[in-house]
Amino acid sequence: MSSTSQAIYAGWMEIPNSAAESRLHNQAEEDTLALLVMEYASTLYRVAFSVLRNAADAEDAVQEAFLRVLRHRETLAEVRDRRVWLIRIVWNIVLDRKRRAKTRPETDDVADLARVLPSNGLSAEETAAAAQHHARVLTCVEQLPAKERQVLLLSAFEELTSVEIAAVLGITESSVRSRLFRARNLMAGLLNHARSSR
Amino acid sequence: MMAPGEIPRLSGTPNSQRGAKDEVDATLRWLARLPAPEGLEDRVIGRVAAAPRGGRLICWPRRHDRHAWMRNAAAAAIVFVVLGGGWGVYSRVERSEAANGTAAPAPAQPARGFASAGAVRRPETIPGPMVAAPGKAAASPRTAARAHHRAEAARHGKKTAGKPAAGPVQ
Repeated sequence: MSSTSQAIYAGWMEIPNSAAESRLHNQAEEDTLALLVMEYASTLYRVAFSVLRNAADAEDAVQEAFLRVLRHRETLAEVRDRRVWLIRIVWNIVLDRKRRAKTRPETDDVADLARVLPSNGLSAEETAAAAQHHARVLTCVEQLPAKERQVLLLSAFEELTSVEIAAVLGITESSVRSRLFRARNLMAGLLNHARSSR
Repeated sequence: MMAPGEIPRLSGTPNSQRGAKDEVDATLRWLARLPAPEGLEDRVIGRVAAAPRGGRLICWPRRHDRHAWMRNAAAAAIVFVVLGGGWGVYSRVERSEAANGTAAPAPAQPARGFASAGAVRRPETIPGPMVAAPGKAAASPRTAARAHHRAEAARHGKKTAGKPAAGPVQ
C-alpha cells in the first residue's frame, strides 16, 4: 500500500510504511534545506548585515532564519517564491533584533566597516577613508524614518524588484516607490546638511 | 560603475543633491554586495542538522507487530485503572437529598443611612398557568351551582325556621 493511499485510508493522518521511509523523508527534507542554504545563504547574510552591521549577528540571523524554515518545513511546498519568503523571514528577524538591541551600546561602526571592506588595491589610508565615508552615510540612513529606511536598504539589493520589496514589507508597490522617493530626498538633505556643518 | 571602496566626489555646486544621491547609492550598493563570510553555508547546514526535530508525523501502530499484545494489554490496563478510579470516587460520594433549596444569605444591614426595613427584593416572575386547589379542582360547574343553591337554602332556612343547633347526643 502506498503512502498516499494509507493517508487516505487513515483519513486524517499520514502513516509511514516503515522507519526506512521516515528516514528517507527526513533525508529529502534535509537535502531541500541544504539546497536552499547553498542558494540563498549569502543573499540573506547581506540583507541581515545591511540592517545589523555586524558580521556575527548577521550570520546568527541567517542561521535562525533557516531554523525557522526547518520548523515550518511542511509549508515549504506551498511557498511560491522561496527567495522572497526567506528574505522576509530574515528581515523580520533582523528588525526584531535591532529593536531589542536599542538599549545596548552601539559598536564602533567605522572600525567594523573597515574590517569588512574589501581591499581592492586600496591603501590602508584609503580603506580607512572609505570606511569613514560609508559610516557617515549609514549614520544618515539611521536618521531616516523607519519606513523610508527599510525601503531604501532593500532597494540597494539589485536582485529585489519593487514588487518583491513590497512583498517583503507587506505593502503595495506604489508605497514602495513613494517611500523610496521620499527617502532619497531626505538622504540628500541630511548629507548636504552634514557636509555644510563640517 | 564605482568600485566597492570608491567614494564619489562631491562638490558644492547645484549638482550636490545629485551627488548626495549617488553617494547614498554607492554606500548602499557596497553594503548589498558584501561577500558572505567563508564557510557560512557549511555552518548553517551544520546548525540546521544539529537542531532537534519535533515529531511531525503521527505513527499509527502497525497491524502485524510482534509486540502488539503488550501495547494492547497496557492500553487495557490504563483504561481499567481510569474507569475503576472514576467508579470508586463515584460510589463513595454520598448524595444528600435534604438540600433541595438554596439558602439565601441574610441581607446585610447598612452601617448608616436609610434602612431597608427588612424589605427583600423579590424578582418578578413570569405569570404562569394558575393551578387550582386540589379539592376544588375536580368540581364541575353543575356541582358548583348545586352547592351554591344548597348553601343559599340553608341560609334562608336558618333565618326563617330557626333550626336548632345540633347538640351532643345524650
